[in-house]
Amino acid sequence: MNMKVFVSTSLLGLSAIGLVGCDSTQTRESQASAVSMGSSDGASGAKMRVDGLGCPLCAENISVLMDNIDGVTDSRVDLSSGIVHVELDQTVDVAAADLRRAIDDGGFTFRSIEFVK
Amino acid sequence: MQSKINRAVGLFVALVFLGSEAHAQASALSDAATQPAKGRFAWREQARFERYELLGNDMDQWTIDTRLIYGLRKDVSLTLNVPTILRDRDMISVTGLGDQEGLGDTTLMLKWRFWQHDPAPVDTNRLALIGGLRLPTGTDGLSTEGWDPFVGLTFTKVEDRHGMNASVRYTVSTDGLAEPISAGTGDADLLTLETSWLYRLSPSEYTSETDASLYFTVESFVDYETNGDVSWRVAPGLLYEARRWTAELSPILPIAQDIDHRAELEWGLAFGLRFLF
Repeated sequence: MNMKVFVSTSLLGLSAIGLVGCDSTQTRESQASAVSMGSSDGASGAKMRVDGLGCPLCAENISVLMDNIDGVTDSRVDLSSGIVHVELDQTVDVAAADLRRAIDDGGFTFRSIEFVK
Repeated sequence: MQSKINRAVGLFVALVFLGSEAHAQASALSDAATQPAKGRFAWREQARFERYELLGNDMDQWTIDTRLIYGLRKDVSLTLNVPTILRDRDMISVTGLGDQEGLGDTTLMLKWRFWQHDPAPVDTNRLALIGGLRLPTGTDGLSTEGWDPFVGLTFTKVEDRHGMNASVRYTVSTDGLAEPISAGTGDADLLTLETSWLYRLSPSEYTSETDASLYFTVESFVDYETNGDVSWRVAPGLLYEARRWTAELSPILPIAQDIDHRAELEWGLAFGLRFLF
C-alpha cells in the first residue's frame, strides 16, 4: 500500500474514533454541580450561576439560547459575577432543567439556579 | 487587477453585513478550542492580503475565507471553509501561470472538545481534537487536486485579562500545486504549530455593565514541511469584541524562512468582522 494512503487512512480513522467518542469531562463536571431543579411556578425571574463565560461575545450566546425557551422574556449576563439574570413570563411554568440545558448546550458550566418571586 | 481587488473587498463587505454568529476568544488567524452552541450556526468572513516573492517576482494574493460552523453537539462542531482567491503576478511564471482567480479547495473539519474545566465566571480551560479533509474542489490552478487529511489538537485558556491558544496540526499532502505558494500547497506533508496570546486592554475588570472588550493579540505560526521548508510568521493585532459583533485587524510578518520549494512571504494583512444574531 502506498505510504501516503496508509498514513491518510490512519489519521482519518484516529480522528473518527476520537470525534465520536465518549462524552466530555465538561458534562460530568456540570452534572456534579447539579442543584435542586423544579420549575418557575409563577416566579418573575431566575438567577443562575455559570462559570467559563470567557468574554462578552461568548456570554451573549446564553442570551440567544435563552430567547428560544418559552416563557423567557429577557436575559442578561453579568460577567463580573457569572450571574445570568432571566426574566420570566409569570403565566408560563418554566422548568429549571430547560434553563440549565441552555447553559450546557452553550458550552458553559452550570453551577446553581434560584427562582425569584 | 484593481477591479478584481475592488470586487474582492466588495464581496467581503457584503458578506459580513449579511450577518453571522460568532464564537469568540479566538484570535484572528489561529485555531481555538471554542465552538458554537449545540444546534447553532456560526458564520465568519475574513479577508487576507499577502505579498509573496516567487523566483524574483512579486505576487499579491487576496484570500476571502467563508467559514460556516455548526454545533452538532455541545462539544462537537463541523466546519466548512471555502476560500475565494485572487492572484496578481508581476510576470507570467516559468510554468506559464499568470493572474488567477477562483475558488480554493474546500476544507471540512470536525472539532471535539473532550476536556473542559471552568474554575471561575470568566476563566475557562478547553482542549479539543480536530480532524478533517481538504477536498480538491478548487478552480484549476488554485486546487492542489489532493484529498488531504489532517489531524491535530487545540487548547484554549482564559484567565482574568489573559487568553491563550495553542494548536498542533499534521496535514498529509496527497497532491500539490505545480508552483506552491503557501505552506501545505505543495506535495510535502505539513506540521503546523500555532500559538496566540490575547491581553484584555479594556476593561481592566469586568463589571455588571460591561458590554465590550478590547484585546491586544499576538499570534505565532511555525510551519515544518517534509521537503525541508520551514517558516515562522507572527501576527500582532487588535480585537474589539462587543456583545453582538467583533472586529479584528492583524498584520502578518515573516520572522524566519528557510524555503526552497514555494514562495516566500514578504508581508500580509488580515481583517475580519463577526456578528452574533
